[in-house]
Parts: sequence; C-alpha cells; structure tokens
Amino acid sequence: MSGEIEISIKNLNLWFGNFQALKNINIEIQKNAVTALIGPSGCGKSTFIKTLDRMNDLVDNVKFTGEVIYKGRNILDSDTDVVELRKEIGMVFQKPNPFPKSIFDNVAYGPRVHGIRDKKTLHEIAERSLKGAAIWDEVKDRLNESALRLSGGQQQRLCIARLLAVEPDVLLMDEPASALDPIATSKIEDLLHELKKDYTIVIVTHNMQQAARVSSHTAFFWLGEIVEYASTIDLFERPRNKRTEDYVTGKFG
Amino acid sequence: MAAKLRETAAIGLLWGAGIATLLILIVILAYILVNGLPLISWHFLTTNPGVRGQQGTGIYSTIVATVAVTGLALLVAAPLSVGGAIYLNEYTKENLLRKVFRQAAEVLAGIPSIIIGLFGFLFFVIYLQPYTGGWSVLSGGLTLAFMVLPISLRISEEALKAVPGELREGSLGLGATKWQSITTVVMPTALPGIITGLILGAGRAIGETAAILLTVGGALGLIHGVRDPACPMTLYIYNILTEYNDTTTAYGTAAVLIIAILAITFTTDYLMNRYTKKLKGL
Amino acid sequence: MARNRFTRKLNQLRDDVTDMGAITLQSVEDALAALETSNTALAERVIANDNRIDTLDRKIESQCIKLLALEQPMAKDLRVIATSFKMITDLERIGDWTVDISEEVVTMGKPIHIPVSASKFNELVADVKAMVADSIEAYAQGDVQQARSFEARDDRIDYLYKDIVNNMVNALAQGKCSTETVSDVTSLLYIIRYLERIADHAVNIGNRVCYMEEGERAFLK
Repeated sequence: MSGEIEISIKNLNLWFGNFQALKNINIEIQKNAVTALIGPSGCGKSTFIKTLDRMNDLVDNVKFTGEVIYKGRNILDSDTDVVELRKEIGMVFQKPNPFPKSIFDNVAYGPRVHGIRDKKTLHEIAERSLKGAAIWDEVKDRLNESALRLSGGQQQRLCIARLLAVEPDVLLMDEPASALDPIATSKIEDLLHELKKDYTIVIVTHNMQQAARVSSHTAFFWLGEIVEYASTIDLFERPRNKRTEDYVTGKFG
Repeated sequence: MAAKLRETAAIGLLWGAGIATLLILIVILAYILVNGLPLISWHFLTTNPGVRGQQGTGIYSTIVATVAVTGLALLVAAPLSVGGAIYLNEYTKENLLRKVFRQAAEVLAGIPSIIIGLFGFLFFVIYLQPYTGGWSVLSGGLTLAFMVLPISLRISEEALKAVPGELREGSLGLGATKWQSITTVVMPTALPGIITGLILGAGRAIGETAAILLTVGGALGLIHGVRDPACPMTLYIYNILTEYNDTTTAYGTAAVLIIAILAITFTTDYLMNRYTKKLKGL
Repeated sequence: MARNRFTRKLNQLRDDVTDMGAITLQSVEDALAALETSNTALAERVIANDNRIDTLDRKIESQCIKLLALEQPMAKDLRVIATSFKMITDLERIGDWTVDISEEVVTMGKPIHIPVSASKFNELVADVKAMVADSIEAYAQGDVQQARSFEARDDRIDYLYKDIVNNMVNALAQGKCSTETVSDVTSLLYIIRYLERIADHAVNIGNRVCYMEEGERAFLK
C-alpha cells in the first residue's frame, strides 16, 4: 500500500469488562483517502472507530492496550487531551443527530464552544462548512430555522458541516447513510469523494456496495479481528481469506 | 362470542373507571368553586384576615405567605434537585452510589409530611432559631424544600435520561467539554421535563399543610421578612375551620388556592408545549 | 448457507456455459470429421447448428447481465460471472470458425489432397480438438492446473501451424502441386489458420479459468 499514513494502529486490544471486543488490531489508515470497515454486526468495527476519537471512554468498564499513533503521539495515552483530540478527529453518527437548535447554531456550535464569538467570523465558518458539506444551497435562506425540520439526508449533511466547522483532519463515520433513502445516500457518497481531497475518512458500513463505491481500502472485521485489509478492489474481487470470500459473497453474515 | 363479550365487558369497566375518576375530580372542583367563588372579590383578595376570625375580611396576607413559603422552598430545592439530577445522570455511572442516592430520594418522598414537619420544627424552629427566627417563613420554606426536592430530583433525572445519547456524543465529538455539552445541549433539551418537575414540586408545596403546621407559625399579619411567622392559605383554611368553624371563608380560600394551582398547571403546560414544539422545529 | 437462490442461479449459469461448451466442442469434432471424410452432409449440419450456439450465447449473456445488475456479486461469484460473460464469446467465435471450416469442406466437395506430411496435419487437428475439450473441462471443474498447460500446448500448435504453412508454400513455389490441387492447398491454408485461431480461443478460456479461480488476470490473445 502506498501513500502517506495518517493513523497507525499497533497491537490494539480492547475489552468491555471481560469481553474482548478488539483483538490485536494492526492497520495503517491512509491520509486523504476513504478507508471502509465492513463486517457483520457486533464484529467490533464501530468499537474500533470509537477508539480513534476515544469515544469508548464514555462506556463503563472499558480497557485497552496497544497504540494508536496519530501525529506522532499515542492517543491512547492517559494524558491525551480528549477534548483537543476530538477537534482533530471528528465523528459522524449512524442516526443524524442535529442539536435541537437552528441550522446556523448547529454549525456554529463547535466554533462557539472553542471560543469564537465574533458574528462575522461565525457566519464565514458556517457558510464555508455548509458549502463543504454540499448543503449550503439548500439551507442558505433558512439558517434560522430549526435543524430538526430538515430531511434525514439534509440533517446528516448538516452534521457533517457541523464537524467541518471545527476543522478536523480526520472524519470518522459510523454508518452515516444507513438511515437514509437511496438518493440521500448517493449525495453522501458523492460528498465523500469531495471530502477525501482534504480529509482522511474512515467509514463503517453494512453496505458492501457502498464500501466498494466510496473507499480505496477496506478492512474486514470478524469477531473483533481484522481478517483482511486490502485495497478495496482486491478485497471485493479477489479476497485472499476464505472468511472474507464467504462474507462478501453473502454466504454468511 | 364469549371472547368478544369479555372484550366488551373489559372496555366497559375501564371506561367506567376513567369516567369515575373524572367525575370525582369534577365533583370536588365544582363543590368548592360553587361554594367559594361567590366570596371572591377584589376586597377578599386584598384585605388582611381579621385577627380573631371576623367575617367579611380578606386573605391577602395568607396569599403572600403562600407565595413566600413556596417561592423559598423552590429557591432552595431547584438548584439542589437539578444539580443533583445532573450529577447523578451525567457524572456518575450506574453503580451503588447512584442507587443509594435514588433510593434516598424515594424514601424521602415517602416520609409522611407530618414527620417532615416534626423534623422542621425540631431543626429549623428550635435548633436554628437564632437564624430562622423560630416559627417563620424561612423555617416553613426550608421544611417544604424537603418535600419538593425528591419529586423534582426524580423528574429532572428522568428528563435528563430522556435526552438522546447521540446529542451528548455529537457535542463531545465536536470537542466540547462535558460541562459545555450539558449546559448548551443537554439542559436546553431537558428543560421542559425539569420545569415540569419543579412545577409538580411547587404544587406539592402550595398544597402542603401538615409540614408547615409545625414550622410557619400561623400569624395572620402581613409578613415583612422571611424571619416573620406567617399563615399560608392551607394553614388558614385549617385554622378557621378548627377554631371558628368558618366554612364560608374556608371555601373562598380553597377556591383561590385551586384556581391558583390550575392556573399554574395550565400556564406551564402551555409554555412547555410551545417550547417543546420550538425545540422540535414545528 | 445464505443466498440459496443466488447460488442456484450461479450453478445454473455454469451448467449452461458448460452445455454451450459441449455443443461447441461437438461442432469442432463434427467439422473436423467432415473434413477428414469429406462428408458434406455433416458439414452442412455443422453450419446449420451454429444458430444453436448463437442462441445460447445471447441467452447466457442476458443471464450474466441479470445477475450482475440484480445480485451485485462479489469475489468468486463476481469472477465466475465475469469469466462466463467473456468465455461465451470465445465459444461463439470457435463455433464461427467451425462454420468456416465446414464451408470449405462443402466448397471442396471431395476428398482433399494434402501436399505435406499428413502426420503433422493430423497432430494439429488432434491437438486443437483436445485443447477445446480440455478448456471446457477446465472451466467446468475449475481446474487451474489444466488451464495453465494451454500456453505451452499452444506453442506446439503455433509451431505446427507455421511448419505446415511453410511446407505448403514451398510445395506451391516448387511447382509440386497440380493445377487441381492448388485450390485444395488454398482451402487447407484457410483451414489450418482457423484451427490455429480456435486454439487461441481455447488458451483464452484457460486464462479466464485461472482468473475465475485465483483472481489474477492474465493477458489474453
């Protein structure tokens, strides 16, 4: 695999209580590319991306070992400033989760909590982020309307815009299109192709065709392990592992 | 056919039970209002009661006393219960401490009000007399705070629990601190529930008699400070009935009390509905 | 085992391609038998039969398109369909060459005179027949080892082809042929050219089978 490495994961193990959810994960995430994580439900892929921005810290009884090297430091270290980390590594969730506030306040939320108060600056950031998430044209005349009035697909793009407003480097997406209709889904997928020019994207998806369409590399998770990690075309056209083969051809999972 | 018959019978019974509940409420309200409304006048509302139970006087000082005692109780209970709820729901994990807290609140809610009153009497009226002035609005308000606290704590906690986890994750995921997330996302979303909890608590405080019987003093004069003894409406009803058997004034006072409670309930309901709708973008 | 219906359709596809292969092979054998025995009736039958192969080609093509469009196949499933999709074109082309051979047989209408070593010509005929048969067998069985042998066997066929052509051209140049055998030689030049092309398609099929089984695409002829 070629290209610059953004995040390098070494010997990552993670437990919830006595249950080991991730087993000896070793992969390198390419910079400015889309990396897809596929696998059956409960295989650890969501847990894995939540490790990358330390969201698993919110769960009781979580323990981890190993290294996640990002910008030369191990973000699993206990002295990592998770608040700072989450500005650089942002997350888009399965269900669109706009705050019950206006469209503008949603996008301005991140900059505001990070201390930006100037109205003009906030407006500039909001416009830039909404344009970046390909939703500006649809909302520019209704920025003061509640975000909850938007359609599901628009809400999800708003959530992406909200994330772009804090200028992260990495976007983590946990099944960002699973709750959306096909048209909204293809808008998100088109957006991913645009976003990867400036961001490193890691996407969890149940939809193999989606992984095939949007990503350059794909990792297949099974029972907390990465069974196979390869370029997307190799993984779907000629998987090397029997288990991957069975999964992508729909023989199990 | 038998099943259908049973179905019909069950629906009939449930319908009957519902109607009975409604009827009881209507009867009570109507009885009090019919007997009390004729007495209510500007004069009744703005004149102080006669010291020895004279007819033709008003209830002004008792209204002031009710507002003062209830307001004080809320002032003390609101920050404690909301703060407690936030602490329990946002900062503790589901563990023993949380269970102990919740159980304690439940036990507190279950203690008969006369016993709370007894505690208030011993603690605020007697022990803290130099600070509370003995029988006073302050002693009564603090005692009532104990009755408001468990209700609003519990309801605030439920309201916070009902805020979707995705909103917290969304906020934290943008690099907000926990406190920022709570104040800017969680609290505004939970506000209707929290206010409802406080209103229910206030309703409890306004209507409470036993707990203030022993703590507030029962003086009919207009209060000038929180350390003055006072006689809220409920206590006034009790006093004039037991001492002067003045049912007319009792009905009048009761009608004012009920109208006040209904007004508070409907107004907050309306405001909260509007707020919730705005929150949902409708 | 999930996707039973899809698996059944995929097996059906492989069976159909194998059937088409068997019919094509029959055409190859019949055309060559007609050549050997100057059986013009048999040659006519091969020509008439070609539309069966064409019909199967179209039918299997739509089967493949349907599976690709509706089932979004991945991995081996994808490769089986892609292989079948391309392989039917090879089979259809082989069928066309057998028609061309048969037409030459009909045109000549009599036993032909072979002006060169008959043994090399017979070897060429046998090799081509065997390679077509083996390529179809390799597809049906997913036999990579068999499929890999075709390149080397094709080298031998190319050698025989060039050798026979050289000998015939020499024979013509040295005036060893009578006037009436000149047209036989021309027909034969065409026929061995067809045989050589048939072998190339068999090699293609072999390469496709390797891709189907192992995912590595080889360069095709």
